[in-house]
Amino acid sequence: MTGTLAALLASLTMTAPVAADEFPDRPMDLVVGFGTGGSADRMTRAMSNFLSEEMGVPVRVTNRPGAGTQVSANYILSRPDDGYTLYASTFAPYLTNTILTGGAEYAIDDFSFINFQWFDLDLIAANKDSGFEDLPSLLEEIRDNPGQVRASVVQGSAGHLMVRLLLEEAGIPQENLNLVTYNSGGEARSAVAGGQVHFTSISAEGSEGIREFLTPLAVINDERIDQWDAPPINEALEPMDLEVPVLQGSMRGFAVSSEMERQYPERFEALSEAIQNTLARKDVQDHLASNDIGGVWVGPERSNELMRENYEIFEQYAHLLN
Amino acid sequence: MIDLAAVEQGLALLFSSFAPWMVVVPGIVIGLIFGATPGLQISMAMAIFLPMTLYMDFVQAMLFLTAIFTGGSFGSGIPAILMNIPGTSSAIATAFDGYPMARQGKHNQALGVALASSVIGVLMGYLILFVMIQPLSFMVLKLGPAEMFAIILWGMTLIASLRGEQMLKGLMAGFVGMLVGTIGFNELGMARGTMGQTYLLDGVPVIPAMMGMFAASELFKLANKGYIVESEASRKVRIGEIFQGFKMAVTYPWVLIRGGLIGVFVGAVPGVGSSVSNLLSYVETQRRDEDPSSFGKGNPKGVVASESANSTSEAGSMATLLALGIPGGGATAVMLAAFAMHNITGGPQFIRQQTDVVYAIIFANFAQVFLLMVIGLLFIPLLANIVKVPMRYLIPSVLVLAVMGSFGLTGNMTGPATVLIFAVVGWLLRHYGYSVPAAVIGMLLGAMAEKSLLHSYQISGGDLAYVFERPVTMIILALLLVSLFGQRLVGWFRNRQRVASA
Repeated sequence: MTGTLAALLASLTMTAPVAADEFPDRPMDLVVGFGTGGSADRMTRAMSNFLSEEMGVPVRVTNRPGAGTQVSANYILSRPDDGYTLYASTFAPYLTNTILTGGAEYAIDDFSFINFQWFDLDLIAANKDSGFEDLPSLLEEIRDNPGQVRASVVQGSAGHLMVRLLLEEAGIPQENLNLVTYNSGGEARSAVAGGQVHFTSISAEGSEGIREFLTPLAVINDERIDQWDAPPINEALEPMDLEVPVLQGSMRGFAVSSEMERQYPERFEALSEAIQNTLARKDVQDHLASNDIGGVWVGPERSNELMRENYEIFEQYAHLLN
Repeated sequence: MIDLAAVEQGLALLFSSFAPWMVVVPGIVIGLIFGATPGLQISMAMAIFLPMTLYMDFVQAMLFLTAIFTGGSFGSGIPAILMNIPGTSSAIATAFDGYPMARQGKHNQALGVALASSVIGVLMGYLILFVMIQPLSFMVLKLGPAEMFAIILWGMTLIASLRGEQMLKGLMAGFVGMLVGTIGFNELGMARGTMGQTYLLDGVPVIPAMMGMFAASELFKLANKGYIVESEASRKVRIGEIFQGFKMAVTYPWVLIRGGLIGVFVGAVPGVGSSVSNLLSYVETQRRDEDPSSFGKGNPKGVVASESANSTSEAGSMATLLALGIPGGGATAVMLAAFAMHNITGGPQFIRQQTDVVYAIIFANFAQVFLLMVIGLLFIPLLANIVKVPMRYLIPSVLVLAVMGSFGLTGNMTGPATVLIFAVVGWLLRHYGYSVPAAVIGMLLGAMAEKSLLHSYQISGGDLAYVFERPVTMIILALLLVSLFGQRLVGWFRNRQRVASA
């Protein structure tokens, strides 16, 4: 209310220093695209108190789960574009998928990403007793014995697309592989741990518990990582003379509607600064680290770029996912 | 199997100070309240109180969360018995015989039976967990989609016995329920039956729909009655009768043990859990009984079967969480977040290296059982007073609770809208003699059955011979056929012999 009044006064006096816009002057909403307890929710709740300190107003966290984040995305776009509603979600691959396969009516450009703070990478791993020790021999088996190799993935995930891409690039017919698509990572992991399927392609985070049942074959990354002893995907494919795009597993962070950025660039700036300052604090970093939550600052420009790249790659191969 | 040194350390963890126990009683009470309130879920309770566990050490945090779990598993049976409203999907079968008992004025006994079965169920579950946590979790891993399909099919045979007025009407209600269950995205990422509505993309929210069908339709039916229990004399809350019910449960040891075994194994399966185990246990108990037709009319064995299975499921889902780090449902998913807060990753390594912690959690649950018994006995008289509330007050307050709870579940108006739409659907079904429970079970299990069938198709590449690679699937299917047609087959053979010897 006072905001509109101030704006009214400013417009009347025609001396409108935009900085006089007292933003924020009332509680803010963080809307999570998933239910309680998931990764996006944990990230949001871990950040909310610190953000509230930074912004000087209370911050409420509400969950609007459903339809692979389509429910929350529509909700964000239906809210006033005044900067008081922030969108927290796992944008890649979920937001991308709602547009490409979920029949959503918005476009990626309808959102403006403030920051991605948490990046996951995917892992391709075989069941320990399956006998597969490296990626090329696995691909050859799929090529030579159609219908014999089984794999589990999460439907529509980057890991799912990776498997399709690998077959595509290696010139192996997609139907040679019996691919089981789950809606939950837990079930996809149970399937490979129990030897129901020979291998899985899934986010590395969360696969820690079933480590003993797995032989890691490749990490979807440009370089090796400490947690899993496996070559980066393109290094693993070298003997086959293949190269695939390195798909980003998942990206979590904060966004607003792009309309909001257009109308209130200075508010967008304020939000972006608040998140940057929050992530720069040592106590915040310690808190995030102790909860296994990512907390990097890449900034709006890079975040929007990353999201566009992610969308373009998925768009290019969307036909493989159906 | 059992590491005695770790047992000692586990006991030391628990009894070296009073601190871990401070949270158990509040935990059980929270669980009871959330379980007993239609529309509030146990996983919701855990998520709300999760931030408090930040200030606890890991053992204390787990004690707190499992106490909520334990309280909730009994709590959800209370509205099922008193009002025919299962608090969660794990108490559906509790309502089948619990509610008729209450209508006959045996609400005290029914609650006593439910409490005893819950208490014994939790105890049994954690005993099994203590002896065989590793083998149990590995066994679950060996269950593939084909086995899951066979198990769920078994649960679905229950629809046939929930007939309503006629068998055909029961089956029709079940099939309509199944169709409703397939609305939304399936595991192939295809949206079906949404009619272009965004809020149907996730399908019909099962719990609000269930509450609408059971609760609202039941309450409409009772609207012209004064009270839930007709005779004033029976409306009393008698501690003696509660104890009577408590003893009654113990007189059916086989029903308890069967429920417990089904609960542990089915509860350990990710994504299936207690919502299927209570139904399976009920099916088997009814089928093996000398008088199957007495079920659904207030047979306490039905309550024992359901409550023992859903309480044992807790231990089953804890097995996969501790031994594999894989959450099987909403409650264990929240626990996984508590694991992360304390930098602990569930899995075989965790069980090997921190056996004392695992044992401490298990022993604490043995103690929780007795606390649940005491708190439950204190709570029941309080809750049983619902039968004294005149209908004209009860109906609006329960409906408001259900609608508010469903709003909390879906986070938007989809929940309340679902409750109200399905209240009408439930009333219509009942009015025309179609079985409401059959429709609910069709909805719940139909979606699961479709999922496991789809996964079986994917994993086998569409080759039916896959079934012959899976001995367990064949065993389950054989058992299913025997339990369905066993007696007829025996009779048929006897007839043939008689004809042959004549």
